[in-house]
Amino acid sequence: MKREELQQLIQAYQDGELKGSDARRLAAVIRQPGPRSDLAMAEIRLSGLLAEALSTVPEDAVARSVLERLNAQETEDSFVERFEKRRARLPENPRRRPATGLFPAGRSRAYPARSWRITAAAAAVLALLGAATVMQWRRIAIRAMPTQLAHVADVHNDVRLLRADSQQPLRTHNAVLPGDTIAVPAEGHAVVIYPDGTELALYATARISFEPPHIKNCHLFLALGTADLSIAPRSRDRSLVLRTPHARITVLGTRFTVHVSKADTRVEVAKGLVEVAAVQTGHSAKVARGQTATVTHAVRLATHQPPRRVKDGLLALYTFSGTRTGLIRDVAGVDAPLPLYVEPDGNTVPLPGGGIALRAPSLIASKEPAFKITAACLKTEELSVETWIRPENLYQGGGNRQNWLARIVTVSQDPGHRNFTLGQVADRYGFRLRTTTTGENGVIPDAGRWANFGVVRSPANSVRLEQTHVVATRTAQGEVSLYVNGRRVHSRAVGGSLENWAHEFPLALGREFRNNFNSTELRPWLGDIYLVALYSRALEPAEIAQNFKAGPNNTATAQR
Amino acid sequence: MEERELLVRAQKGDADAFGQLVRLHQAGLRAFAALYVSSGDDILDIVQDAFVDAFRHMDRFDPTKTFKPWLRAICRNRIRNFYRARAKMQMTPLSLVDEAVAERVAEADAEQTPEAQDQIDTLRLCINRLGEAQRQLVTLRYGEAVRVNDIAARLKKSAATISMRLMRIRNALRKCMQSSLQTVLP
Repeated sequence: MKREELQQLIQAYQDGELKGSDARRLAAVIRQPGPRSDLAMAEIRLSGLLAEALSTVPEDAVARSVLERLNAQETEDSFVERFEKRRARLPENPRRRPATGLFPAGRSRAYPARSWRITAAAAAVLALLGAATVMQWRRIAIRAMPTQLAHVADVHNDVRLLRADSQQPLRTHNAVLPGDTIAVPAEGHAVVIYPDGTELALYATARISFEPPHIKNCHLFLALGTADLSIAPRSRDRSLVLRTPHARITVLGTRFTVHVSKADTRVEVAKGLVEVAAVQTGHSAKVARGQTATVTHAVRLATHQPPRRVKDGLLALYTFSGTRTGLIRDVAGVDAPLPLYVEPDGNTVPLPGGGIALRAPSLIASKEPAFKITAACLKTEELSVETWIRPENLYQGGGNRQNWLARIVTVSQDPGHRNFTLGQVADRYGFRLRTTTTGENGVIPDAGRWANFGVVRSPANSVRLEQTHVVATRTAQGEVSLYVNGRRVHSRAVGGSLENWAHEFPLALGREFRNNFNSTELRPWLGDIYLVALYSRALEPAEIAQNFKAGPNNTATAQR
Repeated sequence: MEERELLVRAQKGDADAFGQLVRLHQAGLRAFAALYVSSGDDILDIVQDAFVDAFRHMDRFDPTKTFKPWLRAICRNRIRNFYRARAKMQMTPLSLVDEAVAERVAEADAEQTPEAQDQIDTLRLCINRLGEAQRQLVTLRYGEAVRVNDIAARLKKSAATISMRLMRIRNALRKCMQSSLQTVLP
């Protein structure tokens, strides 16, 4: 086989277009050790090196993803696993140590009492000396090198990092050091994560300092703006202290939001308990879940309502409350409603409190084309698809073979033609979107095995069998993003416009509207759906966080 | 902080220390994976999985030895598993080639594999020396992983023409790399 022919076969192999006989020939060449086999591997090697040389993925992307995965695992069962491993590494009680070749079992008990005391005293002195040396060394090391407190997990727009006398743009995975300040612009957003899982989401105009040297006993100083804090549980002697110009907030582990204006500080507690004290007077109060404290010179407590959902740009809203058999109302109150009809096969069950359970494949779709959705999005070139769900299985869409996207929310006609689809493949969420560059099925051409996922996808293992908030957005500039539980998990520029959208497609939930000639599957998704909302604009990160905080069963809406 | 200390801390389960190790080794491991895998997305997935595997099994790492070969061996296993899994999943003639590549990967000595980072740097220099049209073609094909047939449709040329052009570019790049690497050798 000549080099040119070999190159062509490898090219066809990489494109997934190798025919049976050619595949057998190429496999035989690769298996048979010799110059031809080396040449084939060299061709594969050059392709990989070229892909890496031309890669636009930032060098730090791997570290960021790995840390996110490790942090996610740390909070789950692997913590127990690692604890067990550590326990297994601990030396056993010498009295129960089995006999080895050097010392018979129970030898330590054979030492005379005096000898044992001398040995123990010597060991204690050595241990003290060692500890003192280590402490001294640690002090020197800490002075010499500032310890990284946390890292930046997400940045949106021109967020600035102020360190010493310099100012620089904040980048994903930047280290956050003591004394650093992060300043978020009006349209910006940033997420900072501590090694223990504590997470700070910073929104418009937030200016926060980390362990500022000029304020005693203070971990965070929020000078202005809004921050959502989800604090990992900590012991009483390690309580986290957040200061604002008006308040001192002490937390042991909870979820709360702080809004700081020039006039006051407002603390809204979503979970747990925090202690809020007025800086001026020292007046303090404990703020529990569902309460808001407003602090000026004193602390005023009030019971707050859950955050309202974003209404601006809303096209259709399905909350499934009061679902009578067979009909799901569009309660957005925008233009003509687009009701959905449920196939009367008994596979779809209403859930108490609002929601539907899809226990087996069933058709839930509009009888009319989803014209109000397509027309509005064509006008703005923007879109947001939001849903609260609970998947029935960790792996859907062909299980771990990742064969196809199980449809959760779709405006499409059949398995091959769509405007958009939000769904699940294996243990990830994915979003397909038709543009003039992605084509009729809404996938990136030639994305290989990633094509099934669509244009954006969540990381592996991101599906959980619990209530989950999933949102996909597309801006007029072509940036498509996927958010899971209020956090952006993937974002990419997708070229083209929405001008090739079809007007005749219906809106469907849980599967494709109908089959086509080339497919035998309707790509069903199974699980519970609590809310579906469609917007004619790309919601901003702060708005997605607001809808996430509002929860699945909150239909109160608010302007932006 | 020195690598040795980071390793000790990572062995005690310190994810933050391990994160710093990832930062130290990610470029090298990506380059290593690129020697066997030709899709950028797959390279990233494999390298991430390899690091997570490494963290899970840090207790098996001998701290008196060097970290890089151990990491490479884990990555090599991941690459082999990637080809095997894909072969099982596809159930097409392509599976035969995937299985054959998986065997070659299994035979490869992770410690003896040459440093790929230099090759990638050299390749970047060589790509910059290409003409605009050639650079565009190679970026479409390898940077954005567009299939030859789709490039042909996009550029309104036949697939055979694109295939031939790509082959010439690859040969030119190979020659450029050989001469560049030779010139920097002592």
